[in-house]
Amino acid sequence: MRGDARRLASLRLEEWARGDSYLHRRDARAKIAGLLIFLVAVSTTPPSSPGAYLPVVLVFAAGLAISGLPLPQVAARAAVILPFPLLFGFVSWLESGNATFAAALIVRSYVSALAVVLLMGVTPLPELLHGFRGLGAPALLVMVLQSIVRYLQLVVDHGLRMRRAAACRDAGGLPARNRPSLWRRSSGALAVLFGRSYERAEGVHRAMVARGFRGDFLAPRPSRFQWQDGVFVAGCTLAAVGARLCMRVLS
Amino acid sequence: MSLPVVDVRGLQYRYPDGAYALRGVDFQLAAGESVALFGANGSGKTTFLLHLAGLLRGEGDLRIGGLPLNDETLPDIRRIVGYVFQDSDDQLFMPTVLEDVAFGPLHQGVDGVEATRRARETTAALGISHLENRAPYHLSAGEKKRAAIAGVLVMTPDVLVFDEPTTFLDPPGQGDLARLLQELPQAKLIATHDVSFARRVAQRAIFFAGGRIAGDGPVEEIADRFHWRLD
Repeated sequence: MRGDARRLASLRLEEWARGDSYLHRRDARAKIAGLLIFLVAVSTTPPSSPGAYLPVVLVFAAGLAISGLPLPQVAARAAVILPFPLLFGFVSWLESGNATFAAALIVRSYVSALAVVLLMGVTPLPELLHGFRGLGAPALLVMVLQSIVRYLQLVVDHGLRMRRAAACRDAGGLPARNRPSLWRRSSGALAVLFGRSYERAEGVHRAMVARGFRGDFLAPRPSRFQWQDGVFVAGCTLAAVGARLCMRVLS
Repeated sequence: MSLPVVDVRGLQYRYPDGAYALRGVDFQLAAGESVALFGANGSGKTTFLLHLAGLLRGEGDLRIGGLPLNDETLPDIRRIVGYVFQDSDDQLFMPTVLEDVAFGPLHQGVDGVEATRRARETTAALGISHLENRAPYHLSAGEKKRAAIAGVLVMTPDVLVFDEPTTFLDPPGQGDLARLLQELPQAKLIATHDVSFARRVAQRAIFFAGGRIAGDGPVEEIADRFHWRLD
């Protein structure tokens, strides 16, 4: 069923994260540091033209090739953020009349999103959160982060179940005169979705607490920062600096 | 006579709106004993079971494995009581079965390598080694239930609590579960509506009504006394 396929797609990140590429094997802290370096390189480039971002796109492509993740699906997942940069780009274009600047803004946001998806696709969530803690992120922040991720998964899961239930009772097209009531019903369904997801989240939390959860998501793989991780961070730094220099030339 | 592994006296619980869910429950469970919990929906069975794992806190005296339930003893009590939830989807929240089974030992302070070893041992004992790397949401209801039980057994509990374990299971799945429960040596508390299932896995039954234990005795006797049958 198409709905089920979508449901699986929503959970694919976790499947990707269990791979065994060079990037998968790196310590989460090294990967987070690599991402931050990459994002600094992207964000400090003056958005003079979309082509200026070609070097960082190449760095990302190299990372993607090493990870073995499928480009179309990574690109599709990163595209969920596009409405926001599109809006900002459009407003910027209206204000300044500079279409190149607006396009560069969109490209910058999208490349950043691609890098974030790549990080999540090569790092299981518990390890990623552990990595953030290891880099000194406040425990409360990490806990809120993990709760949000889990809650979003539940919302998606419940939303798909409700959609399937609605589809089962859908006899065909909705007459045009009933369209306004569709909006009303949709908003009601949304309220039910969040209510049910909240209840389910409570159930999951209870199950976690019953098995000893006390606020810290522990990763089964012991986290060790090895010399290869140091080499990886150094490589990321060199690639980012190199890309940044190329960007300057291109822009 | 040895101490009961679960000793509950005068347990009361009120919902935030003031309505009573439990009205003075007295209950003892001996080591290795299996007890079925019968009662209508909303009679207080699940509320009672949640108290045993310290997931709800009411008034009264509650001792698990001789330990009084309080903040200090809570980690030990959660090691002693293994709670298998009604909906396995609530219980299986990690990306793979193996990681989910290892979740409990990890949070008991066991290191990752040892937690994984114990998880592998438990999945092998339950015959689900082949599911270790599968995502829980890909499993059948029976497989999910076994994975959920593995996630609890790996913590070596002395008491197993099952909240309507046959929900979502087909008859062969229920039969498999009954056989599995018969083999487990731990004391068991099983909330169920299914008398034939209860007859296979428990010797004693208690009947909940209005937040109280209205009857306590052999499974058949309780089912007859409270007309707890299909017809």
